Amino acid sequence: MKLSVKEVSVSIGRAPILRNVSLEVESGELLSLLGPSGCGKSTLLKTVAGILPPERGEVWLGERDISRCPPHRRNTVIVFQDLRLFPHMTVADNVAFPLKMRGVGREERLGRAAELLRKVHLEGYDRRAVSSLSGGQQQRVALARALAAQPDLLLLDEPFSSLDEELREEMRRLVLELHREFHTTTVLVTHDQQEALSMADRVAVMAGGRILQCGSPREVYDRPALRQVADYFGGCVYLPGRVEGGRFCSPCLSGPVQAPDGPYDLMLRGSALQLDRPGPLALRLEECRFRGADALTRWSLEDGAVLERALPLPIPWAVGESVTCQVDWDRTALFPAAGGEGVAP
Amino acid sequence: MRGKWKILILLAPLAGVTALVLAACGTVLLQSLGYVPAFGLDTLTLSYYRAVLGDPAFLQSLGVSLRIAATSALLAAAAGTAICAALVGTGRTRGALTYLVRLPILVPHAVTALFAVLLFAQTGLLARLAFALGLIGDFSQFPQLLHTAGYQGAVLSYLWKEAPFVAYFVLALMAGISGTLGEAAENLGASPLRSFFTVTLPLSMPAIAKAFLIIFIFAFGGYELPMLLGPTVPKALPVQAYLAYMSPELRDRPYAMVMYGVILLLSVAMAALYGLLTRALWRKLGGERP
Repeated sequence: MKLSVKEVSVSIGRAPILRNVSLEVESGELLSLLGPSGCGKSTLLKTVAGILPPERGEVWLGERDISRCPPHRRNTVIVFQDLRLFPHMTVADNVAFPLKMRGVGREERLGRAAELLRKVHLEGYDRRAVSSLSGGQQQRVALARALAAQPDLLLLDEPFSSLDEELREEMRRLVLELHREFHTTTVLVTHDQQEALSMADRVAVMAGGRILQCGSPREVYDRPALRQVADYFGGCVYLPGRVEGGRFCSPCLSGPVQAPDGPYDLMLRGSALQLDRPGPLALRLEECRFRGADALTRWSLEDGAVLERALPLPIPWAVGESVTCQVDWDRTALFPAAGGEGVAP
Repeated sequence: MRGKWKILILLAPLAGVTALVLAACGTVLLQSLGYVPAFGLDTLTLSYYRAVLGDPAFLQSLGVSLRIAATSALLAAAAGTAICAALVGTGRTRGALTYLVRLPILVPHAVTALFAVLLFAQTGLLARLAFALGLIGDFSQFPQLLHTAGYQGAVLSYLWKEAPFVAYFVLALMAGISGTLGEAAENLGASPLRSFFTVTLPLSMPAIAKAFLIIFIFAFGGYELPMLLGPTVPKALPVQAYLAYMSPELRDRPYAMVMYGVILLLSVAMAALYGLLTRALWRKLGGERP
């Protein structure tokens, strides 16, 4: 079901947390809310779920305005960061809880719980106590419990943050698998950039209680609309220059762009370097660090700026060697030197 | 080495108090077994226990005290839980209202007894109010609550003092559960009421049971309220024990000590139950054993 957040503002005490936030999540879409800690991601999630009341604005689910609807009537289920499994119930009773609240008979709801536990690879764990499970297993129970509610909207509040990297990757795969099967409209809150970029259909980047940019993972990463978004993902340098007659010129790099004449800074990331194609950008390999599956290389530009790029082994250049390369202009962004929104070159 | 001394010095006051309590308990048990050399009694015997435990007056007093304790603890636990639920439900778990709720805990039992007389006596404020409102035509029609064999006055006074204690005792835990697991239950489709009864209340039960036990032990061994608000007969056990203790016949002292011994043993049993409940609470909340 489609979620529409319309100009929502939320304060906790006197502190404004969300400022005029608008967001749309299409039916069946997986959207990731990405931003640093304290930017308002979880507050937005709790506002959508009805746990926090908005000061202003509306929340719509499909054709229904749920802004004044109590949490238990919204059918927007959160998988909390701290999971919040009920410690006095068995695994099966936890999963069956939403069905019990809907008046589903014991046999039917336990049958459904067993089915969902199978889907999250916890077959046979029905009668176990929640406290006897590992962190990853508890995560799966929380996921199965949320799915048992057959939510119109599934809200995942940094659900993998307490897991180690291997388990985290496993859980990401499981969530994507379940998302493909159930097509539940999902909002995933995370501060893990890779998680957001690799899982979501679209990513909304938040900071300071606002949504800075919302778009496909490639859009927000390669074509940030604001310097703030570019800086959040990091790994970029800004080349100061001018656009004249449809051409960006800086001491290090020049090339065709589509932007009005004027002074600009060109945002450039290591990922935009086409090192296998000789071109206008001169670079020098400063460092090459072996990382097992690949190597992390550091390249300096003529003006001293440094870019990093992971490359497959073996690396054909020696440290200290100079090369020239092309730039993938689709993976760069132009920002007016005086500040303001970015322009696609 | 220095740390060891520091711990010993810090523990010294506790050790002193514990030693005093243990010495008093030992004296009670010894004297209840007939060992009071100062009064020429130096043979250990169970005869005093046999005499007291077979005495209908003692059994009646024991019954009265158990009834007062159970009724007071049950009513206070229920009322305290309701107050606590109201505070948590309205989000007033801090601030002025909680101080107001806690106020009766600070009032001494003797003062509470005075309040009870002023309020519940047949010439008290409530009787006068009922008369002024035309609910009763005569003060004698107001139900007698004080100095009755049912000990209603004492129970009502315990209720007034201990229900806030239960609320205060359970508040932090219940607020914590309600704010996390209760919130999760509502998010999964439980109404606030169902969330309370299926999640918050069951998980708060060990704390409520602990508060119940504390009140039970206190009311069982409490002297002032049954003495000031109770009837001449049947007497509550602590009153009966005190009177026996104050008997001018000093060689009857073991009889009083048997009664104190019974109170003591029951209190120890309750304390053990308290410990078990604490473990149960930790297990229920998924924590480590303390």
